[in-house]
Amino acid sequence: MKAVVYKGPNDVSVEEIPDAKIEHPADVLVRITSANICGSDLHMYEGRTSFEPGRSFGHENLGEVVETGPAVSKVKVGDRVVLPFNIACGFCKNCERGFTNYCLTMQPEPKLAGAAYGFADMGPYQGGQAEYLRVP
Amino acid sequence: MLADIFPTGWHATEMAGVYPGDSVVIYGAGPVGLMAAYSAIIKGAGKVMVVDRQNDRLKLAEEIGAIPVNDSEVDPVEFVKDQTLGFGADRGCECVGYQAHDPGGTEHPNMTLNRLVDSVRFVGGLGVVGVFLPQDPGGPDKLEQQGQVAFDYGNYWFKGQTMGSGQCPVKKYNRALRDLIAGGKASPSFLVSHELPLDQAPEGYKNFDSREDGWTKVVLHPAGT
Repeated sequence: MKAVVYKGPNDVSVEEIPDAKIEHPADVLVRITSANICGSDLHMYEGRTSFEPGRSFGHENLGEVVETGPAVSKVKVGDRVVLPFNIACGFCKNCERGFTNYCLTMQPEPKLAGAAYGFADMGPYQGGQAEYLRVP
Repeated sequence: MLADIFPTGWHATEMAGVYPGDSVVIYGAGPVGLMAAYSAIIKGAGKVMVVDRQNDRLKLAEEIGAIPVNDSEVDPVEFVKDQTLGFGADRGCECVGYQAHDPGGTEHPNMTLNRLVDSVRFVGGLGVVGVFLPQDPGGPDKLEQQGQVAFDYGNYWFKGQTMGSGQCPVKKYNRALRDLIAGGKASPSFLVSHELPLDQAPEGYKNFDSREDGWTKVVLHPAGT
């Protein structure tokens, strides 16, 4: 699939990357219809974060569900969805208190909290400036 | 708009404690700053002042009913005090972050934070959603490289202000904000200037990053427009 790939400071290109796919039973796969460029993308674009070259940007994502994992019951194929930029589990200590911006389980680094699509230090998740997006 | 910037702008006004009638100063008229101004107006703020120096952004601020303040022409702190009987605004939002810079382009990571404290009144509330990071190896000085900024804590403490900070918990607000849009009470897409196919993303980044006139918000359409 095509995606916006960060090459280095002030350099992005649209390239083929491996297709996004369901990786966990609770994932859905979304075909992206709109993905905005955010001001916070510009900090990364300018090389002023630890964002790794080769990864893709995009955390303001809208699209259509094209596939659901076996543990997903409410969201259906064909649903039009807008995705919070935060990736959150809903059941950790912080999520239960409403702090989905500081989720403890979707952030793989134990010393950190919070996860997001295509964002420096917010987990390994690809961004939505691409044809498809895995939504955990 | 609901994935990030409208909830994030709303969150800034929530952390600042915006209440009907309040005077509010917003630093930054990028997409999040404009959404903070829009949120404050929806909440019934009496006066909203938006500080930036890009005329296209300030024009949008004016169109939604805020007072544009060009900090390359006037001292924004003095301007806000003049507009508030010398007291300072009731609430303030910081929507710029660690790459805040002067009109000459030199970065001062503490610039908008200290202006915020200075232009908000005693016991006022501050919401900081502009990005600040624990490390910034490319920062302009040793302090900032370690993620530290020279914050006017004395002034902040002396004024008894409160401050909220950090990323927005989008799910706290997105259902309500969706219903404001669906009910015809909000149209946050007023700031979208460009809708481009995915292939033109590099052009979008370049122009948005260099603050080219008229590039206020770029939406990419990977599935075609």
